[in-house]
Amino acid sequence: MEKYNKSDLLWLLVPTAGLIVMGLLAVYSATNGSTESVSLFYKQLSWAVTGAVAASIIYFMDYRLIKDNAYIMYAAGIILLIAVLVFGKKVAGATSWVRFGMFSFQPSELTKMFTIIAMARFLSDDQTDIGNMMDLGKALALALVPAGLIMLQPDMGTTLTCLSFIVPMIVLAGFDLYYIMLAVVPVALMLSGFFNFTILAIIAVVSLVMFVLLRKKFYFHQLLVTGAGFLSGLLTWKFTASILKPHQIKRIQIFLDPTSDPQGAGYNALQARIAIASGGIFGKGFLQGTQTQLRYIPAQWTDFIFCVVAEELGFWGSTLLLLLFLALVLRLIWMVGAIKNRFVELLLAGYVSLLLTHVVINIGMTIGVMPVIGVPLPFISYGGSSLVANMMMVGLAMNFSKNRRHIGY
Amino acid sequence: MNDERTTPEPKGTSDHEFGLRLGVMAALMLLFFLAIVSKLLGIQVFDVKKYRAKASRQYEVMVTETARRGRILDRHGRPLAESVESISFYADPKHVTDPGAAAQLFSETFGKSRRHYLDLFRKKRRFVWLERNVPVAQAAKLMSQKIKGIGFRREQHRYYLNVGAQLIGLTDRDNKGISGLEKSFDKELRGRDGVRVFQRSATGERYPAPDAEQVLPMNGNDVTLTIDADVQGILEEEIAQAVAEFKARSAMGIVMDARTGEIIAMANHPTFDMNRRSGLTADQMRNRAVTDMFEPGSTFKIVMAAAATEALQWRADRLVDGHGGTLTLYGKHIRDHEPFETITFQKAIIESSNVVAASTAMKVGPEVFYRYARALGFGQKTGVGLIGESGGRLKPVSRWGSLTLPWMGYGYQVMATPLQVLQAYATMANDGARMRPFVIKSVTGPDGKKVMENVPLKVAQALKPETARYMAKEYFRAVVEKGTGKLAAIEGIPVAGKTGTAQKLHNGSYQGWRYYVASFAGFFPCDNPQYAAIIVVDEPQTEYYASAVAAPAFSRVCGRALACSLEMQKRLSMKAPEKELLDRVSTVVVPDLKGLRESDAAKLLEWNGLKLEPFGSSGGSVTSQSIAPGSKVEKETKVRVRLTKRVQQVMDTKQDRRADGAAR
Repeated sequence: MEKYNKSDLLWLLVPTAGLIVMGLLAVYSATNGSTESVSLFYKQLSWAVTGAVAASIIYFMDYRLIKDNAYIMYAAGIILLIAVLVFGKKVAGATSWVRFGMFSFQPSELTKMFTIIAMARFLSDDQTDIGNMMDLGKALALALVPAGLIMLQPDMGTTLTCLSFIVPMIVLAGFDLYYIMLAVVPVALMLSGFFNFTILAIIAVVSLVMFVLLRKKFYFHQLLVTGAGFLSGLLTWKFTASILKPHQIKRIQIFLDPTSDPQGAGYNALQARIAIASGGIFGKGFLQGTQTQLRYIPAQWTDFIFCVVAEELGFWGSTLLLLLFLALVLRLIWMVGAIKNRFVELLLAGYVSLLLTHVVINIGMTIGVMPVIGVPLPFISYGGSSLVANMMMVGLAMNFSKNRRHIGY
Repeated sequence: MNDERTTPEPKGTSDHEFGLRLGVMAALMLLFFLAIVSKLLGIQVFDVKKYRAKASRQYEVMVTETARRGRILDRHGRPLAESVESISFYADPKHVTDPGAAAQLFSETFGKSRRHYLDLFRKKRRFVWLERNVPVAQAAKLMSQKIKGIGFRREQHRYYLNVGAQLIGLTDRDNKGISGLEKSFDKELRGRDGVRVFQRSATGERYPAPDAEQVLPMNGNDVTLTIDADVQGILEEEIAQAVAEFKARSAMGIVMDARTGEIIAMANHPTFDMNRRSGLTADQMRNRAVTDMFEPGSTFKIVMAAAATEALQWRADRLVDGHGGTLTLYGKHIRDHEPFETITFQKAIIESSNVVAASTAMKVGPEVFYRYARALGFGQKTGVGLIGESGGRLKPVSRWGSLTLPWMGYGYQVMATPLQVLQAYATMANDGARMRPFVIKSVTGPDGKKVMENVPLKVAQALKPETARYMAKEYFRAVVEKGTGKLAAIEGIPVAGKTGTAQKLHNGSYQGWRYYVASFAGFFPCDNPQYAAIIVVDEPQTEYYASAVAAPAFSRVCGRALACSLEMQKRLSMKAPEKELLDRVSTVVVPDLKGLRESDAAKLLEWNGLKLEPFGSSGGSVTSQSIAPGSKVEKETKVRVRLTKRVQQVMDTKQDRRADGAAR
């Protein structure tokens, strides 16, 4: 057995701290010059401090407290979500905020973490058999209830991220990925018909190969499912133009390629693309980004903050940011394998999925390879709830890392 | 990591496979990371130029600051053409955040209703004109205020004194010269526009760009002409008068400083109102005095007279044969208007005998005759440097027919512009030294420094000074004193000159009775010539002899010019000008103001020595005036003018479309 190793901690601490610092700089720059700028930056700074305190408390806490109180926290999260629907204030079309004094707070960010913890607890329970339809239903319900409540706000982006960890967690808990694939593949094939034939064909081939690999054997139903999906995909592809009205096709096109509508839905996407691309290799310099400082990207301190980093720090800055995320994610995945504890494994896997989904969707939309869905970039985007929740999760991971000798059984 | 795993996986998945799955997951992460980085590489490193250009197109605003176009001044520094700055306000209704307050402000400044502006702000367009061409003084207050969604543009208006229309020419809406000197000196007058670079934020605010190069506008140069606005005005009036009196097709006149070649006035009729340029025809715009050539007729006898005096050593008292009024050559008849038998050469010239001119030309011989014609400037451009100048037509001797020389003797089979004819007389006046005529005195930069200055240029010594003086005294002074040019006389000043009544070749024949060109070219004072002038009246109908048509106009032009020009009086060392002459110019002609904007009308009246008394809606256009255009009134008279809005608004809507693109 190894001794408690400081470098273990650094693998989590350094990337996270790096991300938070970059995030603070980005928020400072994004809000620079506006009348409320100082207060936004200092708000974020105070949230970072709050997050650091919370993470420290969790780091020194007995991790079992977390596990033992998982359902209570979950219940509290659900109550908060209901409360926000009843008493919350509306910001940008969604009722997702509650006010505590001068600070506004988004319960959904915290509830997502509580949901992961609760699911980890439930799935790691010896009594739970994921093969049992009842237990599978319970596990799904744990995730779907908060997702549904968030959808009512309505906040589609957060709802989507709330679903992101279901599959990884139940698969890790032992649910056969094969069945999930059987359900997902035909739908995926049908939708891919909207793109073009090549993508449809590639997905069909890959799916078939995956089926065979997962069972290490070829069954006829594999071909049947893939074939049916492929056929429906062909139909979508062939008849999109004749079935759908031009404006519907246009809507789909804009969803797939926002830059095709620069004045309307694609405005943000196009502005984001311009800001990022004009950054060049070394960027325009801190506080020197024209697109950022001239406010071409609406609400650039929240969902489109990656543009600020990419424009002002350039290719090397955005690559550094991605490297920090990659380090954090890889370290968490490594921990999933290294720690011999079902609860911890499941919790970390759930969190990695959530983190990754945020990063993929957020950066994907800013660089224009994903539709514009409003989710924040963890640690970077302005917003206290997201920052504090993520920092708490990293604190918990550090706790696990510190105690992994005791945890593993 | 798998070696640490002591407990077997409780639910199915083998330890090895679990590790494998995590490995695949990590690999997928890496792949995803690489995908994003490669995408970033693509747009940030390879496409950076394209997107930088897109970005700067979006945030960079170049504001052109128009350079003030230079003035065109007369020889005494009086502006003949001047650019006045005016302000036009526009709005982007989408960005006007507080239409109520803005409308209130505009309504207070311009006196229109609040509702008028509110309606404009409600327009669905992204660009509307709120006010156009407001004087800077009136607009200053609004210009200093930053109103969201409202901007202004400086525009220039060219005002003309309204003399020398064809000579000075016009500018177009873009402030570019399109005719006359405005065109040929466009580069000098135009100046260089400045460019200021701003950064524009997404919400439309502008900030001065920190690093961009700001180019300041450089105002155009002033061009000073040799023209005297007063003399020009007199000349225009008189040729217009002549056209009206004799129902002529057109007329032109030039007054020139015989000593230097400076052109004091150059006028053409029909002409046009330079401040109201609608419905212009090419006929009105042509500077006929240099572009149109005629067979000069008797005024061309100067060549014959010069050759006879210098080459043949003929004197005024030499007797010549008048052939009884008809000379038949090669079956063609050359006729005089009255028959002469044997007469003196002087009489032949002052009575303008074609017979004598023809026979004398033949005595001179083609080569010598041609040489004198060229020496006096015929068959070549004068070098005055005006657009469209014609060099006339003087065939080389080799292409002359048997009748060319005798006909040329009295001014046919040769074509010349009025300026060429005048130049020949000015050469005689200037002791035989042919000066290049010119209209540009100097070009002055906006800083007051002279950029260019024209000096008199002697082109050739065409005649010996004695010859020139002898001709002037013995022949051409006599023409005015006792010959065909009597009516060209100016009281108290000896005048020399020659009439010319040329039949125009019409449909290949000289038979038509109504196609004449009547001209008078002369100079004064004859004993010490200073000024030369020519009047050409084309196709006068009621009378066609130059002695009755052109000579009196010459007299009036020169007489009035002398009366009002102190400079001319000084040159002629005249004592106090006669009261009667002065009185003639104390009255002025009321211009036609209809359709002009208030400010334009006021300016025009001011130039004409009159005053504007507006009534009706201020800022509108003139629909009627209290004194009819063309009436002669005392200076300083007030002209009451009714202003209405309608005309301007019609113009505005026309301009909207043009402006739309420019201001966006």
